[in-house]
Amino acid sequence: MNILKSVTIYPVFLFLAVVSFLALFLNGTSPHTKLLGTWEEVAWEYEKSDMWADKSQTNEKIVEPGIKEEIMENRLIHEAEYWTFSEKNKLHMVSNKRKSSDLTWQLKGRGHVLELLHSDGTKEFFNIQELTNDRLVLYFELDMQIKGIVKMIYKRRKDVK
Amino acid sequence: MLSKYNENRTHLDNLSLGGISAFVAGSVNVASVIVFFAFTSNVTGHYAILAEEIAKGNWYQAAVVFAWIFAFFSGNFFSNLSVIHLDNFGRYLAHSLPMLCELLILLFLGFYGVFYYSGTLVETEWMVGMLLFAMGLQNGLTASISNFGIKTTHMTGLTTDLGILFSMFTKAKFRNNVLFRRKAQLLLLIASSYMLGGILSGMLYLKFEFGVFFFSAGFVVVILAYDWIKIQVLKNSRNRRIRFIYRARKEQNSKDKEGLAVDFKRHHG
Repeated sequence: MNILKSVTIYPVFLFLAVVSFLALFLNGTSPHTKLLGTWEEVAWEYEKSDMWADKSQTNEKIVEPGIKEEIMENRLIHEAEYWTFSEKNKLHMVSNKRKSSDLTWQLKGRGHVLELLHSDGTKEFFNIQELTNDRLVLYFELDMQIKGIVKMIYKRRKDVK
Repeated sequence: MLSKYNENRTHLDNLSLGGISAFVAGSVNVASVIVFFAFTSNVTGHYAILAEEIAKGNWYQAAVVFAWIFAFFSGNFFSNLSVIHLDNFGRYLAHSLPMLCELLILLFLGFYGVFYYSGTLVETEWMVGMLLFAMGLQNGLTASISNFGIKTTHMTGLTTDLGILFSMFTKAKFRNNVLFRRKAQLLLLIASSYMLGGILSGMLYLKFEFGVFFFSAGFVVVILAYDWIKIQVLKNSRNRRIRFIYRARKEQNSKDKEGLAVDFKRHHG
């Protein structure tokens, strides 16, 4: 009886592990697949309180002008209203001033980090806080311990090309 | 470093193995954080992330993290399997096989990363899984042959033990206990080596990128080669000793025979 137990326990354990993995894997969609398509910028929010212009108005999350310029420097993406992620890891961005740009995108980690590669070789990293069929939330300036200082919210857009 | 088991291991054996393997663990972990944005020796964090992804309903990510944890578990499992089942084929073989597998994985990842890696999510998931398996192999081996005295990727437990030890050292009887002092030395060395490995790996990555895995693999070779060379030297010196004793006995026998022959001639004319 003991031998039977020891012989069966390992295959049973392995079977349970495989079944658990398959149950999770088959029910989920890869973040790479979820990200494909066009996203429209909905809002920007700023998380760091010490960046607020008027500290007495704690409900307002307005970044001081100097700091905002520093954030905006070399960052075309913050002017882009629409982001289109394509299958071939190309990101096409169109701004509200009809300026457009093309970058290369990759997902890192378990699909929780979005890497954008500019044509000049510079890289940007965003923490993907939320990614559903309709909503994308990015934290800008990845930090392993705390959330980034800018929270960017997008909604999926089906009719923009 | 590798051949001895449990109570036959000296303090120096543990220091050598713990120091070098912690260095490897630290270097691999930092390299994987930089390249893949995922830890390969922080399984505690992976459990927390697994819980988070399940709570959020991100089933795919949960599956990936579950697979990563299972990879680390498997590494430990196969490592100890080798130690306990292959002992009859030679202790060095049984203990070095997990390290050899780890070496092959690091070399493969370095080679693949330099020549083929294109940065896709699937590649990242597989490579992190392989690194976790490799770290599991290392951690399982060192823990197994040192009677759980050395765990080179388990910083949480190490820090816990250090905290406890240092609080015990406030009492003289524990301070004067050789075993506790040796344990503290070992843990401090492991922590320092881990940090040093991580710092060097981070600096080297800036220049060599995936080549940093070859750097880590080099230290695994040191661990494997150390015992192998020692065994060869001991074997050669034992063979020389045996040959010397054999020759000496042979000479003694031939002298004895000559003596008997002389006696016989004298006796029988």
